This record gives sequence, C-alpha cells and structure tokens, in this order.
Amino acid sequence: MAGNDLVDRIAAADPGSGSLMRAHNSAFMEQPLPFYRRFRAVLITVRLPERPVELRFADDGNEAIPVASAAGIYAVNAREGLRLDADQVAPYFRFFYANTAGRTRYLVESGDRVPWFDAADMDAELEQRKVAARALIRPINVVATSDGRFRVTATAIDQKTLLRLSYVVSADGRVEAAEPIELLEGIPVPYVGL
Amino acid sequence: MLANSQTGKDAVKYLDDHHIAIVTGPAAGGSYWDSANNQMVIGNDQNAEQAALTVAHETNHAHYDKDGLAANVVNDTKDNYVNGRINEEAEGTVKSIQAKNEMVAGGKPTAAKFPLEDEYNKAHDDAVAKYNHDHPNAPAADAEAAGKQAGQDRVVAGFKNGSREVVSSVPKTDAAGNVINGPDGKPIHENYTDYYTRDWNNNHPAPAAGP
Repeated sequence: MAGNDLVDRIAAADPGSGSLMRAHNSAFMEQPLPFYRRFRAVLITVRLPERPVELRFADDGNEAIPVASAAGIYAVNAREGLRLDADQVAPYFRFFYANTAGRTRYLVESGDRVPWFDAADMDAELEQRKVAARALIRPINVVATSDGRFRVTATAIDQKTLLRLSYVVSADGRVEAAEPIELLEGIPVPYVGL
Repeated sequence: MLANSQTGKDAVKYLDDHHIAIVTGPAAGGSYWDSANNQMVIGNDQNAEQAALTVAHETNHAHYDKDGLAANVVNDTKDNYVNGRINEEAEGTVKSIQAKNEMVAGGKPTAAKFPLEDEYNKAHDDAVAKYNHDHPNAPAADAEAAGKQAGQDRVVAGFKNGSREVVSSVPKTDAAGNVINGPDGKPIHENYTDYYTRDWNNNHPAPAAGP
C-alpha cells in the first residue's frame, strides 16, 4: 500500500478513484519518467472481485493529477513546461498510449513481446496468422518533421486486430492521432474481457 | 438503444429499480461495477453501441452483487469460488451478446462486438440445428433453449483455464507504459481463472508450518 499522503492526494484529485481503491485491495507502482522533472507516474491496480481496474495518476509529492486522458497528461505537461527532445518521444508516446488508448488496446513493439494465444504454435491456421502478424509488427518509429514536431508510427493490438498507428507529437506533448489502419484481423491473441 | 432488446430493457429496469447511476470513467480503466458507490462506470472510449452492450454486462454484475448471488471469497471453497466467478462473468458476457442479437433481430444493425460473440453464436446455431434434427416435432422454444445453453457453455469454456481465450487485462505494463515480461520472457497477462484463484488464495493463506 502506498503512503497515506499519496492516497489522500489521489482521493482529493479524484474522489471516485479514492473510494474505489480504499474499498478494495490495491497495488501501487510509482516510477520516474524520463521526460518529467518533478512528476512521477503512479499506476494503481485495484482488484475488484470481477477483474482488475487500473487507475493512472502523475504525482509530484504535492499534487496528484489523473492522467488517464489526454487532457490530464496535458495538465501535467503544462506544470512541467514540457519540451520533448527526440529521444524522449518514444517513452512519452508509450506513456501516453498506455494511459489513453482504452482497456482493450496495447502497443506491441516486437513479435517476441506479443501475448500469443497458447494454441498458436499447435494449430496450422493459427500459426499462419501468427507468422503473418509478426511480419507486420514494427517498433515505435520517431521522425522529426520540418515544423519542429515528431511523426510517430507504431503497432498496436485491439482485441484480435493488429493496428498501424500514426501520430504527430509536438514538443509540448500535444498529440494528434490519425485513424488507425487495420492491418490484420483475427490474430491469435486472447480477447481482453470487458 | 437498449430499448430495442428485451435483455436490454430488463437491464435498464434493474438499474432504475435499484437507483444505480451510470457514469463515464477513464478509458484505461474500462467499464466496471462500482459497488462502493452504487454506480456503473463506463469507459469513455466506448461509443453508444459498445456502451449499450457493456451496460447489459455490468448490470449482471450488479445483480449478482446486490442480490447475494456472487461467489464469496471467504466462505466458498476455492473451486466453488473460481467457478462461481467465471460463471458470473460468462453470464454477463452472454447477456451482452444476446442484447446485441435481439437488437439486430429487431432491425437495429449493431457493429459493436463482444468477446466470444462469434463463438457463442456458432455454438448456439449448431446446437439448435442438432436439436431440430434430433427432435423434429419439438417446439422452437426447446431448440432455442438448447442453443442458449450451448452458447453459454462455450463462453464459460472460453473463460476457463487452459484455453486462455480471454484474459482479465491487457499485458501488464509498469507505470510508464513499458510492457513487463514474466520469468518465461513473455508478457504477463492473467486469465480469469488465475485472477480469481489468486484472490481466493490471498484470503486463505496457508497455515504456518509447525515446529
């Protein structure tokens, strides 16, 4: 359990999350982020009877801010006076996507780090789909554009669909997303329960 | 939207009767039944169709919780607890699938899909066909009941350990969003059986070894 001060700050920032994590067994994870000087990322996993729920905040010891939305992350960026350099864009994007993409979507950066369905190596059709999906997975790619921003491409999974993501990230952390491109449907990974 | 299905109407009536609020919450948290606040939280990334199906699902959790049907982590045996929780989850999943099927049958095209929907429908349709073949003079309602049971059984199987068709969360990340790998080098994600088993074990610690 985290210190009472952190719990109080989170409850003050979001009373609903505060009551939820106080009513159920909750695990706290805190860590620094390479693009923030003061704020640390806080991930709270609340063990509801039905399934886990993740709550996400940034905290600087004085103030906790909910960051499970672009607006929340922008609020932290403003307090930090964020100016991303090229090396910070991939970790920033990773943080941004994990916090805002939704419960069933997640980045995949390598075919070795995909939660392939266990049967994918034992069934010829599933194995074929796995091979096809692996060939389409790319790590996060960051390219600086002439206007001082960064073009980010990445691969993600939403349930059983492999997606190509295309974003533009400004140095102050503002993110513009293009509509994801569906690369492959029915890939052999588990459903995420709703 | 839920008014286009009987399952949906039943869900809305239950929420009204029990004064359960529906609120939106962060997308990352998804949708869940919040018993402490007598409310249902719907992830704000969901469109109206997805939210409608999710309300049908989460209402089932509210019903189990408020009407004393939920498995009890303290009093139940491990097997009864895990199976009870999985059956509750599967039943809620089936409610969402049935709500969608009723909406579609009533002329309301619905693009949103729920996990195991295709699997449920195939098991249902196969069972109905088999029942009609084996019982050519039986009432249609009997064949439909057989279909629903087969669909529910298929969904339960999807949540059970071993099949790993459905997991309780996306691969675990740290607070910065980096995927965490387990000892086998693979991303960590827990299926429902493992999740419920861990909860039961946490509530029933092994007795300390004797002297």
